[in-house]
Amino acid sequence: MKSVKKLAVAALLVIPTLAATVAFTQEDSRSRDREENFREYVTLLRGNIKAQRRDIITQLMQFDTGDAAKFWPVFDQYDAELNKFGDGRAELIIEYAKHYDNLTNDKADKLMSRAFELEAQRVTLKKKYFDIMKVSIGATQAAKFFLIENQMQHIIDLQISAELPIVQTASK
Amino acid sequence: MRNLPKQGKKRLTFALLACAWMALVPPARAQDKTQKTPSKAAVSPEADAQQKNIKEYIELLRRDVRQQKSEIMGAVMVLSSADAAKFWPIYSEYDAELTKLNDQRLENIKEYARNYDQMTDEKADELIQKYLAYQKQRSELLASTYDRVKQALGAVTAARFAQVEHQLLLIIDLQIAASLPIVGQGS
Repeated sequence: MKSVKKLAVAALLVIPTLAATVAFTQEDSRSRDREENFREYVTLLRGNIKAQRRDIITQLMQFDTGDAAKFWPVFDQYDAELNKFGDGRAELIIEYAKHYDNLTNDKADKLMSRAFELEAQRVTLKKKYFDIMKVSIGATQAAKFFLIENQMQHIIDLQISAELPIVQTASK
Repeated sequence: MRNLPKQGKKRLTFALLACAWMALVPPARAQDKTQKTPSKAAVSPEADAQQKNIKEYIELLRRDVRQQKSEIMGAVMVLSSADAAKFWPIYSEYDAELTKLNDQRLENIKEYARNYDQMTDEKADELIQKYLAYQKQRSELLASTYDRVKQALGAVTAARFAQVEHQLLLIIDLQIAASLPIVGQGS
């Protein structure tokens, strides 16, 4: 669990940080925090964050038993819907690879339109589940979850970007 | 690329050319006359390519990507003079609109900070709704700019723009999160 502990440190540092610019008074402390965050992002980028999402959320959210019982079923629904977008993106990548050698403007446009559509749906999905979660565990806790979630998604998106040339290589 | 050392610029170009969707989108025909940048990822072993990309993302995390975004974009797009003359005015307008959105986002972050110690459900709700609205608006801005670049230079080139920009925005998002202070820890 060492890596999970480290991830938890990272996210703990990151999440409250969204709290902002008016609060800091010490430049040294700020720069130290940033360095620590960068180090943890590096760990996250190199690790299997998808497999550790539940552990990260558990450690960061610190739910009491009541809130945990309310949160996880909603999270599971959210995660299942989110995974559908992941499947959609995987299909797009395969399509790109298939047409890579003779990609036309028409094909590129179709693929990009689908990519934008998936992104828009993902934002809508977050809004939908924020609204559901705020009813069950309160908006403050729901907000905290989505601040964690957004950062995990940014890192996962970058990991997917890094993987894409593999598809290209494998297709040849 | 006035702010980047020559070697750093080359590595950056490689990183972005090697990564993401962009690597899957070949240069537009209009770019055939321009200097070509070799895409090493296309011939690298799979794991090697992935590790190189991750390494370059990590390097980008430590650069001033916000300040250098247009330089990075220019280095990666490798446009002919004629295409550059069409692309940059669109990009400048996009960047100005993005700056307006980011100003609103900064206000939102400051408001979060002001309320952090006594956060209410009502305030948290308002702030997250604003944050989600920002994400939606930014995504729509990128999509509409893609359409404009597509009209001017074709979808293949527009796709490259959108993919590079998307990755730079992700890295900037992480930089913003890392740069903000930790409330309750000595500040």
